[in-house]
Amino acid sequence: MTVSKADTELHTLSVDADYACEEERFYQTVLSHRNQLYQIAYSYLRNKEDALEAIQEATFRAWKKRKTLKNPAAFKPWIIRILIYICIDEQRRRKRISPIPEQMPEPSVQLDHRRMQMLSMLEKIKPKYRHILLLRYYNDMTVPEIARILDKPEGTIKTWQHQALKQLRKHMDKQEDWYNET
Amino acid sequence: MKHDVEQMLKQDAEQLRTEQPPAGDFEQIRAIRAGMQQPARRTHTLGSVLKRRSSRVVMSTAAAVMVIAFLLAGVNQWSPLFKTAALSEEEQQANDNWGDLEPFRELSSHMNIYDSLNSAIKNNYIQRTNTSVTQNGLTFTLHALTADRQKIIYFFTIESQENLTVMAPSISRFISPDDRHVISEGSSIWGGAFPENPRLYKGMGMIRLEEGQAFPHKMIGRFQLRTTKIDFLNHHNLELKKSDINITPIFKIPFDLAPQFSLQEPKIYYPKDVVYKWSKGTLKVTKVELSPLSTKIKIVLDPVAAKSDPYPVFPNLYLLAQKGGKRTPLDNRSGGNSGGTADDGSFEIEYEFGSDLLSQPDTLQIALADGQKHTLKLR
Repeated sequence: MTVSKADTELHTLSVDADYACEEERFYQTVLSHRNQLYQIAYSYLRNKEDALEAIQEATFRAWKKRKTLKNPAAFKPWIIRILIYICIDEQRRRKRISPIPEQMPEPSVQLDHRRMQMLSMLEKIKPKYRHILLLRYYNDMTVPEIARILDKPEGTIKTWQHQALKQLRKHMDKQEDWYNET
Repeated sequence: MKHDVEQMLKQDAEQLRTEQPPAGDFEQIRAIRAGMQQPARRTHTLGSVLKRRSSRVVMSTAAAVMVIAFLLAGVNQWSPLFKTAALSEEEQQANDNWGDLEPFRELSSHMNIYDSLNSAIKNNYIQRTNTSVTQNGLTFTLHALTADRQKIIYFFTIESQENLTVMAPSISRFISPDDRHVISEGSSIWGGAFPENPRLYKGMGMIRLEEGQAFPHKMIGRFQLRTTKIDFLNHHNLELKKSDINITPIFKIPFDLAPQFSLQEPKIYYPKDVVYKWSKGTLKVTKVELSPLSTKIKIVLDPVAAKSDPYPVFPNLYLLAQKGGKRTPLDNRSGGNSGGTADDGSFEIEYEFGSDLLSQPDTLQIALADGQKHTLKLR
């Protein structure tokens, strides 16, 4: 039986079982967190397609950087952290796009006035504080969970949460509409 | 006045959860799978919003930078053209039917190739191969394909007769049966087996042909497949061990490509007066290239504007192919386009859209989001 050059090359290139196994285990692990990943991405981006794209990108980056994760038990906070960075990048990119008024897209979901203001307020506070509020209130995470995701001591998270609420309240106080509506 | 901000946040979060559109397993699995396969896609490119596609543009060596033109979601009320072009994917695809290839339609619905495949199927520019090879309890079927001078897109399934979960092929390679040279090392593949039937993997693959490469009329596809007895799609907590994954011997799938695929030369236009006034400068369309499976539009931002903003975020572009009274929006669904600084200081970007060349359109309308539009006569 002769073996063609192409066959030889193909076998050389064959993905070995270790790699395949690692790939599948990684895939399964991401899959098991998919609902939470989606909810987090959605809370940042408020758009289904963007949220799914962010998950896709997070999966790619996590797979690429998997060797840097020393503790497999920390996979979940690790990939959530990656996802959050992607969402932040996307939010920054959105800010860079300043459409002229007639190009301003219609929001896909009609938000009521109060919700638009909340969104606007959240964008005004410091990013590190915004993370706390989004993870704590929009994703029902506990302080220890957030601490693991952001890789900070729990005390820091509690301080940040306090500061976040304080900043948010301050911005709200400046908005006349809040007085009228609350 | 003191606000109970915690309460307000909780109410807002509750409201957000109520309005949050559910993402089905299919969509989430697809996103994760695509993430795993992305390195190949970055090379061979199917594109997607957060993934950037590379393409050949004239770049100065010093100033070559990548830029992205992003989609601005939404519908502008001022321009009927924009409104038509910005119809949701669901609206555009509501009446499409791919017949025997319908199971593959959803796989490509968010991809740039959707419009091209839709046009190919509508115009019978599809070659049914229905070539099957069975070995080791697995059947690989190459159902159909379509091609032009730049790419080959194929539709395939892998089915297990032994109740095994079919995983993505680990290798795909295409060689010439005549001299055994490698036509394409790998291809972009997207697809998957799904929880309702883990035994069946549905997929589509795309082979990029190099510029100047002779069109391959005959090929042998070589695939290495993987299966597992673990039903991980339905039981996410199951541990998959090395010994659970079975890697098959190489499947060899010979097939011919219909002569029609090599006959259709790209139609290239160099319009002289397609110019748009944009907030950052002047945009000029310098080249429009129509192939059966893609439409490429090259746009240049004037040197002065390019100098003032080295990383311009280009506006969204909309394309309508028109034939008689019928208008077909062609989507730049992936939103990722690439470009670079040219030797004269201008900034050049290439958008890639789907194509409806096969329907022999009379004109192509190219519009910006603010309603500025130009019509390019094609006949």
